[in-house]
Amino acid sequence: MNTVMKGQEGMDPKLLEDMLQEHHRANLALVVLAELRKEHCGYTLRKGLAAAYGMAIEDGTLYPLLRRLESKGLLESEWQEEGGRRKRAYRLSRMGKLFLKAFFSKIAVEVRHIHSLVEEFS
Amino acid sequence: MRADCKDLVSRYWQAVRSDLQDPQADRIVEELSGAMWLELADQEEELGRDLTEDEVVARLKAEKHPLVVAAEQGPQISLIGPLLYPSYLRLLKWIGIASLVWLVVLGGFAIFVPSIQVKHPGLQYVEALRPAWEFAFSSFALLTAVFALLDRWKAKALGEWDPRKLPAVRTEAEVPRSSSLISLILNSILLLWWVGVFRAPTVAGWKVLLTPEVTRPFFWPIFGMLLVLVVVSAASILWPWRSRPLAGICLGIDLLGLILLFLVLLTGFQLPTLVEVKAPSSSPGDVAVVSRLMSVAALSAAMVGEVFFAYGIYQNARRIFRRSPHTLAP
Repeated sequence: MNTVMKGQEGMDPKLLEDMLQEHHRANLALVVLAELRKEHCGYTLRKGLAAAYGMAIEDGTLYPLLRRLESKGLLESEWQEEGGRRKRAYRLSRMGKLFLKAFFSKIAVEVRHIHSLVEEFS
Repeated sequence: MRADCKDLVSRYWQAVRSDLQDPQADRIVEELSGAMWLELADQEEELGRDLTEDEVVARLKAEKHPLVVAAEQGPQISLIGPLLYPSYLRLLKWIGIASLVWLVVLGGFAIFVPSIQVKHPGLQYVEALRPAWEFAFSSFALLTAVFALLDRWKAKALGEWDPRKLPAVRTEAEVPRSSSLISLILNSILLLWWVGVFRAPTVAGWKVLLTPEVTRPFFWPIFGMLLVLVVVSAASILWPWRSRPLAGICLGIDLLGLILLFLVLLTGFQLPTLVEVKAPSSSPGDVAVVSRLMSVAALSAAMVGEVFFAYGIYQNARRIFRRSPHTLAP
């Protein structure tokens, strides 16, 4: 992650890494909700987030977040049996889907602004 | 997976469970341990063999100590939250400094005052230092309890506030009128008590007085000091600004107070007790216990006075040696 890309010479890679971590932390709940459109247990969700977004999430962050989102009714979960072992599977609830729809329509202007910034700086 | 490795993983999660204080503790541990079993099974499938004990130990160590995992997964609880913690720490620091000063003073007495060495042969240091420990522990316990209670009530208290009620902007040279008023009230009560006009409430049948060995030689010096403090407090309410010369005079008064109370402490530590307890209908044992407690209370009060004078010296020294007055006023 600490590689310096072309055009970024002279910049502290640690600073970029810290800002990315901060950005991930701020958006973690949204990313988790979006990822759980498809059913996952905590372990496969963590692997999926690492592969898709490069987010290394600790158990101490992920599982309390899953329980918090579930207690708000945005997720639903159930125990499932696989290979003789029980695992807790999570998926987006009906309310969670409505929430994401409402949320993304609310931030549409902000997202367009971020897109223009991405185009300007990339 | 090998049986000894399975045992290691089970022991780890049992330790997490025993440290986890949460109504959903069983669910949390089952879910987390299930995720770890899946991960270990994936690793074994990738390697095409069972994991070794060292590999399992390395994986468990990467997962953090069971106590840390339990703390991360459980509810975030604290006796004093981050909002009040800085104030708590600041006051605790003052108690620490006061206790340390007292320990040094008492240690000095224990070493250099022969009567203490004769009275407590062998144990003179431990015995002589006892009031300082008692002060430190009781202040620490009281402060922690008060802040823990404040922390429970803070949400309500902080919800109702008015920016117009915030204290006015003042310069470093300005003494808050509220602190001068508190000082005036406290010093007036102490002065009235010292001259015998005001008496502290006592239990019926009990009479507690300062011993004449303290009141006789120190009556006029303490009377004078309290009178000056009353006058200075009253003057500070009318004129709260401290110029450098005024701050110098106040520093001198605080220094004299510090020396005077030090002499009182020095005398007090050479006496068997600082108070006389008269209770004809009570047992000598009860009288001795009350006498001891009141003596410690009197010494504690003198020590608190020493801290106040030391703080006054520090504040006035800052006013004298400040480079340039700074203000937040526009």
